[in-house]
Amino acid sequence: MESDKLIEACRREDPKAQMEVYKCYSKAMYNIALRILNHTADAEDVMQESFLSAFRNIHTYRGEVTFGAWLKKIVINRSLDVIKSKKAMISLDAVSEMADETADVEYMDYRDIHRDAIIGAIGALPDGYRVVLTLYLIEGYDHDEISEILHISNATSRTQYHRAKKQLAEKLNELKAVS
Amino acid sequence: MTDLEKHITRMRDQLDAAEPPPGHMKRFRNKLKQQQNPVRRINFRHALQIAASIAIIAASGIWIIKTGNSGDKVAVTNESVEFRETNSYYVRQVNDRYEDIEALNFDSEDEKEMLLDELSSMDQYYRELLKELDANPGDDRVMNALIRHYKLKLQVMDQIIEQLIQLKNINTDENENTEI
Repeated sequence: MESDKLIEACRREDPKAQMEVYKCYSKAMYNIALRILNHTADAEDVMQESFLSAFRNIHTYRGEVTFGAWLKKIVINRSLDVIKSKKAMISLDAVSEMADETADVEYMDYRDIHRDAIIGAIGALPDGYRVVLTLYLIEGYDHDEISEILHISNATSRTQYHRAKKQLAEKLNELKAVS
Repeated sequence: MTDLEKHITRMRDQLDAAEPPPGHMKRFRNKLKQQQNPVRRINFRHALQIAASIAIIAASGIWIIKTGNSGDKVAVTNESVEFRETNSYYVRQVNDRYEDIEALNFDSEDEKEMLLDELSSMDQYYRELLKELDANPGDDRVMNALIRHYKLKLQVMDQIIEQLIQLKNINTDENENTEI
């Protein structure tokens, strides 16, 4: 109820309400951008530009999804634009054509692994893997939605995810071996 | 789902661990201010945008003159229920037109955004009026000014939509000609 009122006030471009909404969502949106971009300044920029764009175009928000979900999509799309413009991200489709070199990986018990280790290991994945893994496992999109967001096929999204997961497990296994 | 996936899904909330860099709030406040009081862009690439912005500036101008001299009252009662209904009627009308504009094909998203920016610059007065109304609930002069604002905004939006449709028709004609 309270947040509905805030969104209504944002439709009237009430700056106080806009700042309030920013306060509520900035941390979550920053983390989403950071997981995709792996770069703090870029993540802040993308996060803030996404809010500005959301406020500018708030009349297009029809309340079919939560405001947070709507905003998240903007953050993700903008993050992907930046990653594409900065690095020539290896085309995801091209990667999927590559031979699957990695052997099967043994999945261990990861329950005692600290969140920082997981965040670090995800951050160390190559761009393409990191993006698919983040969208699927952390942001909760399904492969149909990911294929739409990344302009790849559903099958590519699945393959990429599978390999990303394997690589993540390998990294965590290494950590476990050290500790 | 493997245990690894389950583990990560379970700790989803903890994964938003990073804090935005210090000072982000202040930086955002500045960006927001800039967005709300943009420096007027003069070099519009598109004739349409010139036309649209002139219409808006003209409309705001007329509006300022009108509110400056608000002795004449349009028939609005200070029954707040009635005013609320009138208000929501106009809000709906404005939103309908936004939808119409959204539905039209633009050459680029940039152009569309510029146009929408121009339109929202009109709302600065609207916001002031809403504040005014908060301070003086039921004030006829403010309510009348609000309605005048809505009427002008609708006029401007209608004009823009008409121009956009015309432009679209011209483009379609051209395309048809080139195909022959």
